[in-house]
Amino acid sequence: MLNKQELEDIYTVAEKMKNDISLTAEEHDLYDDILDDDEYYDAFCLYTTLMDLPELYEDAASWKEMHCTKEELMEKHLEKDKNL
Amino acid sequence: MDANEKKELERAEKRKKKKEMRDKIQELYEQMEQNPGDREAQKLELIDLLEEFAKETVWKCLNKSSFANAESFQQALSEGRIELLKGNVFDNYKKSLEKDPFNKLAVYVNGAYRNTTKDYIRKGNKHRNNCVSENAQAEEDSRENIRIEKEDYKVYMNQEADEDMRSMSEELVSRYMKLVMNSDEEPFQIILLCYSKILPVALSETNCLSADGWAWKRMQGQTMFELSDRFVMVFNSAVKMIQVAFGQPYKDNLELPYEAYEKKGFVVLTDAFEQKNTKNWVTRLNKKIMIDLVSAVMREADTDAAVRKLVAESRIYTEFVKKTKRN
Repeated sequence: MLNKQELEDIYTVAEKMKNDISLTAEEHDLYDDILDDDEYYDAFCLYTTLMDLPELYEDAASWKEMHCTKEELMEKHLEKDKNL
Repeated sequence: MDANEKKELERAEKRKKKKEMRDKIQELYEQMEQNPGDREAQKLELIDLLEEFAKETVWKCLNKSSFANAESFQQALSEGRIELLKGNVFDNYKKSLEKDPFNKLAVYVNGAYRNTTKDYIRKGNKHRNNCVSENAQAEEDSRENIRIEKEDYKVYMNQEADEDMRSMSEELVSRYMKLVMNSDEEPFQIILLCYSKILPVALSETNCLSADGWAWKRMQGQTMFELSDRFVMVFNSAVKMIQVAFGQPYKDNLELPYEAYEKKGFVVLTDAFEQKNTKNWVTRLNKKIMIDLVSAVMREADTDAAVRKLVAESRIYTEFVKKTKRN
């Protein structure tokens, strides 16, 4: 089981790679470990997927099911708040 | 010492060795740049060291392909060496220092070896596919392999894995939301995460220039109680796949006093804080939630087949993203 520090370090590498930020030499070493170690790689893949979740969610969410637009939705609840 | 501690010790030892080698390469390179007298001999020594440093990376790349054999390993290393001998890699490294002065030669060249190995695999796949397409029967027999070797995951994603991907993202969204709603972190930070990270996605407002700005505008003048209720209402109206409600730790925290307020729930967040002082809240909390989520998923994957499938799907997704980026 990975410890907290390992999970944090892998998160940092995944985040930098997601944002196309250069890795430090130590992070490069860690990336090599990620490619080498199944547990590290699983954690890295989960982070990558989680970081892309907004895009994935937008593909998955069914807006067709909604009966009003998002603007109407926001307005509706703003109106509700004012009336409270 | 248990197995985990042993593994971590081995990793630390390996990293230490790599650091020593990286420093040695850098030292030799800098000497070569300062005293160009015996440049060619020094360069060859440097290239030997760089090749040694990159060997592991080359093998790791090959190992994830169908070219994991000794012959391919030697060929990929040779191609990397040829690139180094051409000298362009050293020139490009020098240029890269303008952007990143702390970039180490070993790290840079390691990346170059990784790229030449990927090219080697790509060329090999192309050649193999050409051979295969000449033989329709062989193509039929090895359809599964060809599909992967073509690195064309998009077809697979669109046609076969779409449903799996959808259920994976839904499961992860659901787990993420459960952790957010049941978090015992500071409620001001949780609500800011809800408004700047979650609501724009739920409402498809992710193209706004600043998520914080978008959130701040919509939170103006609202108490924490109002913001909390409104978030739940809007989220549950917008998102069909899951319904959310704040957990007891959050609710209890809202009942606690805060400065002159009787309860945190009565605090108007946009009055009590300045936007610029809340900049790190969302990043910090989001990171914590993600780490907790990954930790839980990995723990459960040991015993639960459904969670193992979730991890496997995230691997497929990551491979797909890597291949898409490369192409």
